[in-house]
Amino acid sequence: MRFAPDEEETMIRDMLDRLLRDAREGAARCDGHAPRPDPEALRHQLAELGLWGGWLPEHLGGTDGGARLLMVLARGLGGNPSHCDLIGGCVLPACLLAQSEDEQAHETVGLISTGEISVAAALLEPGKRWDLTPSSVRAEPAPGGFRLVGQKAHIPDAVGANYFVISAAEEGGVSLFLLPAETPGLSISHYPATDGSIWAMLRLDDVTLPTKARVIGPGEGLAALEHARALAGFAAAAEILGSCSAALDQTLEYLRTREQFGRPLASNQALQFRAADLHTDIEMLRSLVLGAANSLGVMPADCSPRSYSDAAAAMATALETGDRVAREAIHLHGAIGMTRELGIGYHLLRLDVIARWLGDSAHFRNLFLTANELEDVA
Amino acid sequence: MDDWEADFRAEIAEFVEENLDPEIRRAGDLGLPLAPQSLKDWQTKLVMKGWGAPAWPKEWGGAGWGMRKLFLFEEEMAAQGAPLVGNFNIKMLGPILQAHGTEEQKHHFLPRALTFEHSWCQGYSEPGSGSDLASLQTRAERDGDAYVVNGSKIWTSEGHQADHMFCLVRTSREGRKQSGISFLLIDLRMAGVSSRPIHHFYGAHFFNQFFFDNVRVPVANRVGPENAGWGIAKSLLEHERLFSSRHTEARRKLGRLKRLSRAVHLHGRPAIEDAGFRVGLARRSIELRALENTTMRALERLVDGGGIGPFASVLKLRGIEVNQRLDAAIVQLLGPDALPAESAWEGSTLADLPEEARNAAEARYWWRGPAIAGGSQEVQRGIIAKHILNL
Repeated sequence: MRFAPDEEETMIRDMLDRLLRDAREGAARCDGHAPRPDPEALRHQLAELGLWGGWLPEHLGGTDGGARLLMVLARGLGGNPSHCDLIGGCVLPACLLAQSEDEQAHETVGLISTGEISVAAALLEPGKRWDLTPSSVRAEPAPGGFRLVGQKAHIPDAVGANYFVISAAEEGGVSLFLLPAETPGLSISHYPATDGSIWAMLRLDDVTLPTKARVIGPGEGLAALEHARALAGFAAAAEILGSCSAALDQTLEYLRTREQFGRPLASNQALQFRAADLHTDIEMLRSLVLGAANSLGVMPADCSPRSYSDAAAAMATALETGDRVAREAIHLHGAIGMTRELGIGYHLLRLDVIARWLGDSAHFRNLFLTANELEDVA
Repeated sequence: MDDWEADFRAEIAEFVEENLDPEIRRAGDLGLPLAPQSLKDWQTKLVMKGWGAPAWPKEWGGAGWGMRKLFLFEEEMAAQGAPLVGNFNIKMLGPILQAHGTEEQKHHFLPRALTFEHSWCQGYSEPGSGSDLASLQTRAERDGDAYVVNGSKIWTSEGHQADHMFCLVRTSREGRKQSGISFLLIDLRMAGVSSRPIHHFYGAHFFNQFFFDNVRVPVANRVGPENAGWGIAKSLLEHERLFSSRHTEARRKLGRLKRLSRAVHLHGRPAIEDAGFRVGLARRSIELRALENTTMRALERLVDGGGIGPFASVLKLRGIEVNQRLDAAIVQLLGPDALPAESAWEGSTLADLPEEARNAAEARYWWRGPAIAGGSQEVQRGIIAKHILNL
């Protein structure tokens, strides 16, 4: 598969950039941070163009765009920050539910894909970092189905969620449940994160669910979560790539125009070299994201150990490069870089939120090595 | 991967397996210099197979392959542990003569370059002209049917193993400094040529300095018009610039690091099981993958008909860094086992050390050079800033 985009991909990229620029134009700024267009309206706009869930297989409401389309979409959102959480609001829940055998789960994926409903994925627990095996939330058999108790933490995109996908420890492994947000016994509280996005904590007190609410059983839950994490990590890497490019472009423009000591900042070799190194880092990241886009499948059946090592390599690199570029973008702007008014610092805020939520670079390096060793064996 | 690519890679693997002396492959893994005779023997086998100079046109013994096939060939050859031979003969002199040489020059020099009957070196740098190459001063003055050459060339890689030099000389002081330079072919066995070795700081003999004292070079040995040498020297084949990334060498180093990580023990267990070591291994592996993917992107550009342009500077800048970090990782993992100098291995007292320790420190030292040669890392950063980032 080629690295360079074909005509269609370039067209989609440009269309997306236009749409996001227009949406940001005049949108309210969220607590002084990046503009925040109405999330639901933006989701619908993206869905109408077949982008929001377009990466999903056709029978699940997508256009079979695969990881390559997901990359274009996430990169565009990273380059035009708009507080639109593709990963939490679409990639994670849809990827998990797509792996279910259950018809209702598949219908739900279709509705996520078209933007009609919002589903939040509740996977993390307090004090456990990025461990995908739950211990707080447990599912036990109850008459007519299951009874769930425990706590979930740090749920993205939960404001206005119609459903939750929840991971729970069950006898024999990890299971996944799909439940309506208004299910009795579910209490939700919200908090703002450092980038202005709203996150949720979830408590389950004697939540009773019918049998059909369990969409993935204890034998397959962990594998489904691991695959979803790989796809989410890949999408995050693509988003960070878009963010890096945008941050560097804006910074270069500043270096060319801002004058000190009677000449443009860009004429200083010390600054030129820093910019050249950042550009080189970003090109390496681009190569890894493109490589992963070509080898990663939306469904586990389309993946090999190489797919997973590619995705993890992209994310491990994205987190480090994203951090460096975001910090340098602030620094190279001088004092104005520190301001909310300019907003260049948003790239660092978002990068940090992604790293804390999905895992840091050390975490993804470990995932890389595990997959890479399987490659070497194969 | 397309079917033909898999078949082609398999064909190369089979050829190397059948024809390459395992000792040579081993030396290559360790980054050891190879004897000129071993290289010549290997080239003879390649020429018989029709692979001696694949990028040359068929009429001169080339293979007539497209860009992608040429790239795969070199990549797979390196992956199979085959030595890279004839950098100056095949990659530099050949294409230059084919593009700019006279019929007589082509007929005389190309067949001899192909078979290694002649061994070429490059005479560009001078004591006062390093990164600013165009300021070179070695002068060639017309006297009848000869140029009289006076001056000195320095940092001549492997010049002590060469009998011919293609070089840049000053034939005019008019106008821009780039426009007074000509491209000459010099037989180093002629009267007035002398040389001295320049040892690397750790002792290896790689560089040389050449002195020209009234050396009479036939005008027939000038390539292209007088004062057109600068453009000729710069017209290196685009596809060669893909290998600015040195990704094939880095891939072999990663293989060496992984083999070592099973032989060397940390805290009583193989290093490969050590959390601290694994952090570095993951970093090195991921950087290399990024470099390889980036090289493939550059190849795509070429195949699509565009040039690599300043993208080659990105390849070189990062390629050197990736190689140097791998060198450091190998030495760091070996610890005290990297103490013995390469010469110490000639005896048998070190037999108990892992063989991968051999030449590890020297390989690291050698790789300081590529960061300086061919446009230093700083020159590359300058090119990126100016020609890509428009600063």
